[in-house]
Amino acid sequence: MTRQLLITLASGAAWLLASAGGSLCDEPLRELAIDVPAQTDGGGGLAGLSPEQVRELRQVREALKAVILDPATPKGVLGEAVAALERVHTALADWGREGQLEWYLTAGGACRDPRIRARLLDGALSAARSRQHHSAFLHELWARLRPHVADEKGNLPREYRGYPQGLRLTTGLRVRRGVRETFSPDLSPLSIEFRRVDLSNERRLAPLKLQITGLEMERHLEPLREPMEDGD
Amino acid sequence: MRTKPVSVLLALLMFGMTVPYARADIQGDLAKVRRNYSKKDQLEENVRICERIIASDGASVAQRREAFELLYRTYERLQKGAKAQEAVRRMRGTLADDPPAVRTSILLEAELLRNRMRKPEEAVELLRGYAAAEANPADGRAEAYAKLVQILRDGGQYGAAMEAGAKAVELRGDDEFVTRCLKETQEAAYRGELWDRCAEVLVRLLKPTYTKQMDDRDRTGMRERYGEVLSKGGRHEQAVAAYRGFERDAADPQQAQRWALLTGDAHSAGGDHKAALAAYERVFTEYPGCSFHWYDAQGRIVEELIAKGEYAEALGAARILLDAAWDRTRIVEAVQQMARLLKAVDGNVARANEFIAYQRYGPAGKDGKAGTDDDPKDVLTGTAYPRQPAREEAFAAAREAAGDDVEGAQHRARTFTYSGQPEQALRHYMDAFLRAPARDFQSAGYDLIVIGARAVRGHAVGLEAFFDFVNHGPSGEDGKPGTEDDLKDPFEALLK
Repeated sequence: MTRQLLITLASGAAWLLASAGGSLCDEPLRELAIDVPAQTDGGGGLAGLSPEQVRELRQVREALKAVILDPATPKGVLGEAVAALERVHTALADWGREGQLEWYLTAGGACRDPRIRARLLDGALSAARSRQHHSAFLHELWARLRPHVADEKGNLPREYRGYPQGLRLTTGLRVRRGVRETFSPDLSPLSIEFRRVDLSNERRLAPLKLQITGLEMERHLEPLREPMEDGD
Repeated sequence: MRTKPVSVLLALLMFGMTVPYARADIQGDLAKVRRNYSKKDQLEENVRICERIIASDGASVAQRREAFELLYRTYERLQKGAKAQEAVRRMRGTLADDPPAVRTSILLEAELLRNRMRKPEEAVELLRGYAAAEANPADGRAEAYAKLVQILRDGGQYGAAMEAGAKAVELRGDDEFVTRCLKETQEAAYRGELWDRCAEVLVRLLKPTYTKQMDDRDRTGMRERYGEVLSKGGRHEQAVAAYRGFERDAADPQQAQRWALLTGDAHSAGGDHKAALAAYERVFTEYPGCSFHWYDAQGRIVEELIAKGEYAEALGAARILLDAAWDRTRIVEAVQQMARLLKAVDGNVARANEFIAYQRYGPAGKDGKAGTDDDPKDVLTGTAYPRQPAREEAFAAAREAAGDDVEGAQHRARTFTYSGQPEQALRHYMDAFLRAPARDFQSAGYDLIVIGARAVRGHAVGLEAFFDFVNHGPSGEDGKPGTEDDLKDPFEALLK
């Protein structure tokens, strides 16, 4: 989503916030929060955002959070706002900012729509990773979250079907004949073939022969026959 | 007293009268067979219904025609070829005065002879007989010729197929039919390696009247085919001109980039390696915001440099290709190419095999122990990446425009990979990974390790440690710090 669109969406927040409505609160998940290394506010990583762009994005982020928590926000707008907030976090590269994980768990717990709730809990998992280049915290949170999103039989609803496989990094390599492939290439060394010069079987250098073969001699030397008579 | 309908029916049957078969009922029965004709257990019922309609005086010609066709389809679907053939022949005999019935029966029998009964010669004879008779309607004759194109082409009679195609489009001029027919005809010429004739057909097919009958994929396919046959026919300059034209008209950068790549191929086929190199370089410099065809272009640049005998430059370009490879197959191919190149440069295999051993076993060699005699050297240490000022300039602008999402960060990383700056690339792959939401975790993590980390390390040996660290973190699989399975951060040494 472009920045302008985000700003436009956020500008509607005041109207949405002013609307009164019923509570969407469902289940408190905030207590599931784990201890993660708190990160400072993101400044856009290596994307080269200007200070002004960063400031604008932070404003949009806060406005979107208000829209999402507003009980009067219509479902369609809520879904868009959750997606837009994730996009803002991605742009700012601010995953793991202090209080972010708790916010997502609170918002996810408060949301009754299963798809939007899953997306909010997805945000909680992203926040839990906390800009680490490993997924230890992410798995720790998922272990706590799983019983709360699974059904009575312990099965995951459709919205979480990609988990937990989607949270594991796989090499994409196959196991063939009991051997696991690795990225390192299995190559034979090169060689420059050296052929010994051997003319012993060279047909073009065979001794010259007379061209009349035994068979030809037989044909040429066949005895002459008498002509047959009719009726014989 | 009211007479019951059953009594009336019985009375009619007793006096030998036939029950009238209303057209509405026939319509319903035809619909029933249409639904069931491929069901084995409905065969007898379908045949009974069709035969009843065919014999009925109340059925219209169109209904009887459809009944014959469904009878044919029933038998054909159930692999009863002789019965199916009998059905269409009866159709032709019974409805001889109905031109659509005759046409349908001919086309169906030809289809049967060709596909099911494997008698293409008989199909050709049947179609030729019908198509040649001027008394038959032009549309039907055109269809017969169009079918002939396919059968003759599959039988290897490419010239005859083309002639049939020409007759088909002479007889029927609607754009949809002509487009279909020209496509079949060019395919015949292509398979017959009749390059010039194929190009002639394609010139007509690529006119807007006909291209608008095709979807994007088809249109692109036919344009590629046109350039290809020009090149195969030795008309390399015309191929270049065609590709350049397509590039100018391309709707998106990815497609435009592909035309630039093919322009290079046409130059290369014509032996103009310098022009080929320039075209391949344009894939980067004119489309720095789209990396879709960069890998292919880089591979071709290596080949062109080898063809020109510029081995030192080829080595640098091949190194970029090896860095950019993103799966096992491509890594193996890039290593093989580099090894062959080293062999060509040196005239012996010593350095090539040292390189292969390094890629295969890593710096610790086959025994896996560093500091032993079998440790291979990194023979590429002294090989510089090529200097590419134009590419670098285009990339600098593209990095600014790449955006602030995961794909944008990965694109920035690729621009560094393709300009021979693997350390910078790794930083940006890491940036993409850190900003990625949970959903993009896998794809961003994979590129970080397999492209980013591998290129900085110079080999792929031991990448498993990177996957383990990303999956489990410093505390290892058990998640408890201070235990035996704790993992060292393998990125630390690379990101200094």
